[in-house]
Amino acid sequence: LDAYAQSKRLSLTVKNETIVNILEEIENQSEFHFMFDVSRIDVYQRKSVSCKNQLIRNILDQLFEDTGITYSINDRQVLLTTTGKIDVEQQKTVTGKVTDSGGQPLPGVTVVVKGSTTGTVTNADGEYSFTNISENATLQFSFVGMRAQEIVVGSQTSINVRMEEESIGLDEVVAVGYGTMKRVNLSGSVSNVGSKQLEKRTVTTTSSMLQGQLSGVSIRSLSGNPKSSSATLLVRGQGTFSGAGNSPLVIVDGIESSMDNVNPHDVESVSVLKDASSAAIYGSKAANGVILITTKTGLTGEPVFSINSYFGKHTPTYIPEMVNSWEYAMAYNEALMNIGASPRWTAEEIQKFKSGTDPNYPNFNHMDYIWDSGSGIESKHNINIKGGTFRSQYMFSAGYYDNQGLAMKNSANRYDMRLNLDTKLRDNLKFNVKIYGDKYYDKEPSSRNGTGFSDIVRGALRLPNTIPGPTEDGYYPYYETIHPEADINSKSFIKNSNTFFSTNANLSWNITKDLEINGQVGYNYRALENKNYIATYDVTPNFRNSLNSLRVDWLNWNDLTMQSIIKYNKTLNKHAFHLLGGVSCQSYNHQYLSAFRDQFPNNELSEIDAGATAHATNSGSASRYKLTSLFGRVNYNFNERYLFELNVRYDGSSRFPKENRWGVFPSASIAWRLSQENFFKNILPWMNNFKMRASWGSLGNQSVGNYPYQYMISLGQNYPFGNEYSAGAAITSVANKEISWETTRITNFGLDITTLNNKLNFTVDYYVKKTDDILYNISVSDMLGASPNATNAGSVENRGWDFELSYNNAIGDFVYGASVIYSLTHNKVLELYGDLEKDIARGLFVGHPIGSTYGYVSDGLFVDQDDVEMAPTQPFGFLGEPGDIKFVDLSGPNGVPDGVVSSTYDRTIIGQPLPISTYSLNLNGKYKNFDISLMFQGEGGRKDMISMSHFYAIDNLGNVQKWIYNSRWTAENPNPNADYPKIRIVPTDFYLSNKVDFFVKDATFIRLKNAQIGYSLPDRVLNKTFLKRVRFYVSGENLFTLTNFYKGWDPEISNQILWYPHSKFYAAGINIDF
Amino acid sequence: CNNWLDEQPLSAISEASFWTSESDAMLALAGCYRQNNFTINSYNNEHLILTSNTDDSNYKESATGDIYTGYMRPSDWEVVRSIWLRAYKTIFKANYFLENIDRVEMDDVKKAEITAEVRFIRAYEYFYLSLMYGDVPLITKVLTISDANTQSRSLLEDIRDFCIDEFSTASVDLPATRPDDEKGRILKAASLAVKGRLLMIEKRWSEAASTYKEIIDMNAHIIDPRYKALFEESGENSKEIILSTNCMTSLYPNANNQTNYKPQMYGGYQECNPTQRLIDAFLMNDGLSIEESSLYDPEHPFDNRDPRFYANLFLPEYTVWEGKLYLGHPDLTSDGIKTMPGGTGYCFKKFATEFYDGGLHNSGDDIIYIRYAEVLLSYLESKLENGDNVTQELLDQTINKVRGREEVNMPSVTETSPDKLREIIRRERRVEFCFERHIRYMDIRRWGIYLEVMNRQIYGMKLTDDPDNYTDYPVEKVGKYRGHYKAFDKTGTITPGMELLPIPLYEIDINPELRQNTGY
Repeated sequence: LDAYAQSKRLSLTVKNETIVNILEEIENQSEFHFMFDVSRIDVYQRKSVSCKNQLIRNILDQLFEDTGITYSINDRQVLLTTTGKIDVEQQKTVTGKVTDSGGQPLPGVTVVVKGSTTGTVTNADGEYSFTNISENATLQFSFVGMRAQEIVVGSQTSINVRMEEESIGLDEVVAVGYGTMKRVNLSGSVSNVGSKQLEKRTVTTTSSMLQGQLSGVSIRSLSGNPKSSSATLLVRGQGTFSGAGNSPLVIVDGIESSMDNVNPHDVESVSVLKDASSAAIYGSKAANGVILITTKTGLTGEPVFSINSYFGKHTPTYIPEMVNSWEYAMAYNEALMNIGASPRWTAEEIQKFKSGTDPNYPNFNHMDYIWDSGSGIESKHNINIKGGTFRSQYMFSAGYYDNQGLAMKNSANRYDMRLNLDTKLRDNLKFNVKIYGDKYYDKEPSSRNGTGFSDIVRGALRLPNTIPGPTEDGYYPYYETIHPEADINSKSFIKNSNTFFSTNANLSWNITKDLEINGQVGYNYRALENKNYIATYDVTPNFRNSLNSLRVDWLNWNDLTMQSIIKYNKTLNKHAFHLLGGVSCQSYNHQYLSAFRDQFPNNELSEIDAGATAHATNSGSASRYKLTSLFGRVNYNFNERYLFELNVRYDGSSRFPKENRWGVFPSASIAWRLSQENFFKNILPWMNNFKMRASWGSLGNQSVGNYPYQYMISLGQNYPFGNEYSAGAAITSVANKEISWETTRITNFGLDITTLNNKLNFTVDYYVKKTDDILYNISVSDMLGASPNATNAGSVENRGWDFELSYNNAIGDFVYGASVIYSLTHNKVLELYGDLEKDIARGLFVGHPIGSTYGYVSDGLFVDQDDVEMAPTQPFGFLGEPGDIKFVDLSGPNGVPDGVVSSTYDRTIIGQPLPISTYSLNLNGKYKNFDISLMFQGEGGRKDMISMSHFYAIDNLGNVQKWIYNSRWTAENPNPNADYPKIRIVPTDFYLSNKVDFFVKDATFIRLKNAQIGYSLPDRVLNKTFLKRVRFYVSGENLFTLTNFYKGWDPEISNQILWYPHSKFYAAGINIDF
Repeated sequence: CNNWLDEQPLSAISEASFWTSESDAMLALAGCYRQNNFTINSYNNEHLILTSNTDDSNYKESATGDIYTGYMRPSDWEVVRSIWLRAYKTIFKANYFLENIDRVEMDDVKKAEITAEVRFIRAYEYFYLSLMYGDVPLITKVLTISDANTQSRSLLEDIRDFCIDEFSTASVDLPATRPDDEKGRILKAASLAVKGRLLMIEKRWSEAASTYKEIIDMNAHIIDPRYKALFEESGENSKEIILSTNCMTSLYPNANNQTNYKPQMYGGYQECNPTQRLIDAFLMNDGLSIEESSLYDPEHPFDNRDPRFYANLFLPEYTVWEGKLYLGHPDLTSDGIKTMPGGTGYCFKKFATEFYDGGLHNSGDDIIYIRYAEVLLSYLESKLENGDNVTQELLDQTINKVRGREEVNMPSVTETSPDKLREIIRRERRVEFCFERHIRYMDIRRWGIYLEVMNRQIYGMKLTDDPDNYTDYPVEKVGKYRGHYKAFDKTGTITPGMELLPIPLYEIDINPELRQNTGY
């Protein structure tokens, strides 16, 4: 057993160093691990040692000479004892084996003698041993993902432990503001998810990974573009209509950061602080909820390597299908004839399109050309190494992914690296450092306007199949201003290169057992380099884009956070107190620099220096804001039965004028665990936990421009005088000298139930979230002449329910679980500015949800001429024939229908772009070596239209979708219930600027977001190798969707300007641990 | 800690430290010049629509939709709201300037001059607003939010009187000429010329005539011997130009001249389509109309015309541009493109530069608003309409100078009978200013012929000599336009009120008290 000690040779030269540090050094150089009880052994005496290539015994003999310390070596473990004192307690040796619930040995389990720093870790066979241990001692066994156990030694000499996997529930510890807390002791409303549930998804960003995992959190991914694959988050609905926005505050390991600057594989847990009592400790930034991300940390023991890789392929979920060229020609003729013009294509020409023999009459699908041009291949690789000694633990991870878009030259890739290091400098002094960096690149092809891929997409959507594709001699079709194929094949591009770096150091000192003081410094740095290159290229033999140019933008953001916290925890009999006080200072800086040149000698050179200086320009700007805060918390519980908590934060922000700079954000919560009451236990003994909660609190939102209270004369308002571009200045925005933050008050009632032997968990919350003094950019007449800064006015209410239900069980070898999340939010504007009832331009109407669509109401289509004549005067002179949309006369100047449909009296609310409900269902099961998981996710109640001009037939002479062609109204088939009115040539964007409910559709959907099947190699195979776990899996994302939304359009999209289809993703991957 | 939270803007000037020196005043002056309604450099559809709100051109979509239900609807952004917004933004900057300029200590003469420039800029916006929307709220001070949301429309006469007064006042302190390094800044003649336009709209003929005479007597401007070059970068320093946007490549580029009008086959957008009636308005080079001249050959209708004909237009299967013959026939499939519906076969050439090789949206071409030619023709018209005796000398000093410039060199006008001369002047304006910013739009309205000329069938190029047996495209079967392409029929679609833009719906949504224009 002593083979290692007999062979391992070490060199060590230290002078006048504490023994504890010398031991640490030995641990660093070797696999030896020292165990000792500081209360008995004086490890802080200083010694000098000088050895070269010595065995451990020789070194230790030298080290412990004249110290009164002796040692015994057991393989790699070295136990220190003292010769000086004679212990009155009886000492004995205890050995044992730790196994998991299936009886397999568990290596790496931490075993500690309670109340001491004596401890060990189980070896590869799950075995541990202690010598000289008191009968009164209690051993604590802990392992990540397993429920911790404590066993009193007593007379036993062999203690074998079977660790149970931790069920969701009572002992779970969750992250809360500036700390952690046992879930049972929470009185606020916190959603939490751990890495185990999250690791199933094959996604590249943390925000998309969280979709469907947290109640009360609505996450929507807006685009399938690899370049912008992050998703938007809303916690408990849209709380405000201000420019301050609805983004929750994201805290990573205690420091404000951004969610997508965390590798999803590094996430240990995510907590969402939904109610005001949980979030108030973050004060003026917390109104939209707070998301706390904790990254993984190291563990004690041998290094554990985890490798996770997958490869997969994206295909579009939905893509609008366009008509063939001859159908387009017919539709176009029809559209012309419907407005009284003559047809454009002769029957002979239409026949030519059909026969396809004449190259001037093609049937070329421009959408297919674009969306089939990319490989859609994504691969992602991560390695994670965890390990450490009893004093220091490390977690190192490195990740890489590469995502090739559905279109060529469109891709994103990222490299990231993290090191989390936790060290006990002394027994009462903990130090941890987290260092993270990533490098993220994306690129896309661009058009001659330099507006990027969206321009190409719009072109492909617009070009009818009657326009041919690229020719053999390298030329392209050119229709009006557009030529998507020429653009995508050109050397024009937009490239972004993002660098993110964050460091975070935390020192915490336990002054006494109960009192801890903690200092933390965090620094985030993000730099973005954007390159926008327009190449020269031939489009047609007659037309060439003859000027190339490059714009380079450099932006950087850097934030510094410094905070200090003092915590006092005390338990007196059944009274437990947790007190916390803190102070923090934050500074946010931003800089921007931009340069432009043109006339590059060729398209291969795309560095700014290569361009000509004649038209060179440059520009730049900078801004800064600061925040200072004091905060505190009092938490008290009696016997884990009655729970109380008070939080307060006092914030000062440089964004507001001196008088309005400081704000107080208090909150309070109470909870009662009835299940701890004897009477309750008697009535409902099977109820493991039954807790009622109530909370109230106030939060702020200060995300307005950096200097809203100061009149600013903007520079750069230049105009050429002579040949000089003369500097100019003008006021472009009107200051608001009274501005302050907006305030959100949340009242929350909740109920937590755990039953069926901790297998079933149920949580429900009801909340009323009201935001006042909204930083409202009221719609002001253009006659003001400048844009006003926000005013504190208006209020919005969200009332809603969050439900979470989960069940986990095992039947023999079959382990399974299911969870349902359902959230309901009713959003309503309560008040605007003064007695203003509506702000049409911003979609704000008292009594209705934020962002409501406002427009005309329709009553189907006009059936015939009689129908037209019976109808009120229609609002658009050129519409109002059989087959056109029949606009309804709702009201008039006297409050009753006046026979005229006008924009003033006959528009109303016709759509709501926010979902009312979000829901998901997670199912997972495991049988022997197979595992499976399914996740369904969806949204309900959103009613929206497609805000993209090319959705509408022949808009701006563009293409026609197949479903429109197939189900439109025609003179031959005058169906008054047709899905699309008579096609006619309407002005560009007509239906976008004159909205009508005819085009508003229910976007409710449910989709199979993720399905995964895995197989792990059995232990009997693994036992012959160094491998601990090998799992293969196949996974699919967005596999199918049920919806009544428009054919060809994903119901999840909302920003159609930058439309890019969502993708189905099929992947195969492997997890290896060793 | 509170001081730690005092943050000042890092890249803008705080108001407290502004308005102290001459350089501050000059910064604010340039700010007032930037992106007002005569200095915009990206005018996109606005110019096209306004040109198509005349009988000279058909916007491509007006062939199939109709500009009145298209861009000229209250909810429109591109034209209806953007002109309005730009005007009031400039008015705000000017009001703010005029309320603060007295705080600056600087040379009084200079101060008076820049004050006059800003007053011109403000008055020009009201001139333009009243032309486009009719009566609008007249705002001459910086407003608060609630003031801005409760404005009502002022009387049209009050707005015009205000403008006329302001232009008069400003012209006193504006210089007649400027050194090269002040090109782009307003000249005395500009202020008088816009005043003259307003007086002509108001039919105050004698005041108009004396205003224009004042410009002529300044002797600061000339009729340039060149014509086509005036609209290209090479001619932008001409003494004929009185008011223009001073565009500069890259820094303040003209985003439209080299893209919007050119035929698609040369990489342009071909967005405006000149009508056959405009084509026919150009005289033969003997000074006679196509009906009267013996030089006119229907088989070769483009031969022997006024040289301005070729400078202004792309003519199908006739114009050679960049070495290639321009093709405009509607069934053209060269490069796979069919001519746009509503296309007439003709295109505007005036602002395009042959063999241009710069950035398409990035040319340095100035945008011309007022030329000395207008002063001369307007002077003549004012004299005529005032009932003054028109002599050959007057004709020679005015219209004959304009059409006699070296590059044009059309025969002199000798007609002095008022009715005939009126037609000659009107035709001369149509041809000379063809497609220049809103001149035709203003003219057909003040001449009272707007409804008449707009409610017509729009014809394009001639497609056939045998219309009875021609079926490919709709063509006129009888009359003067026999065999010509029937591009679009506007007959009966233009009703009174449509000569004005609607008040933006955005404004009415905020302030329902703001009355909408008739017909919208």
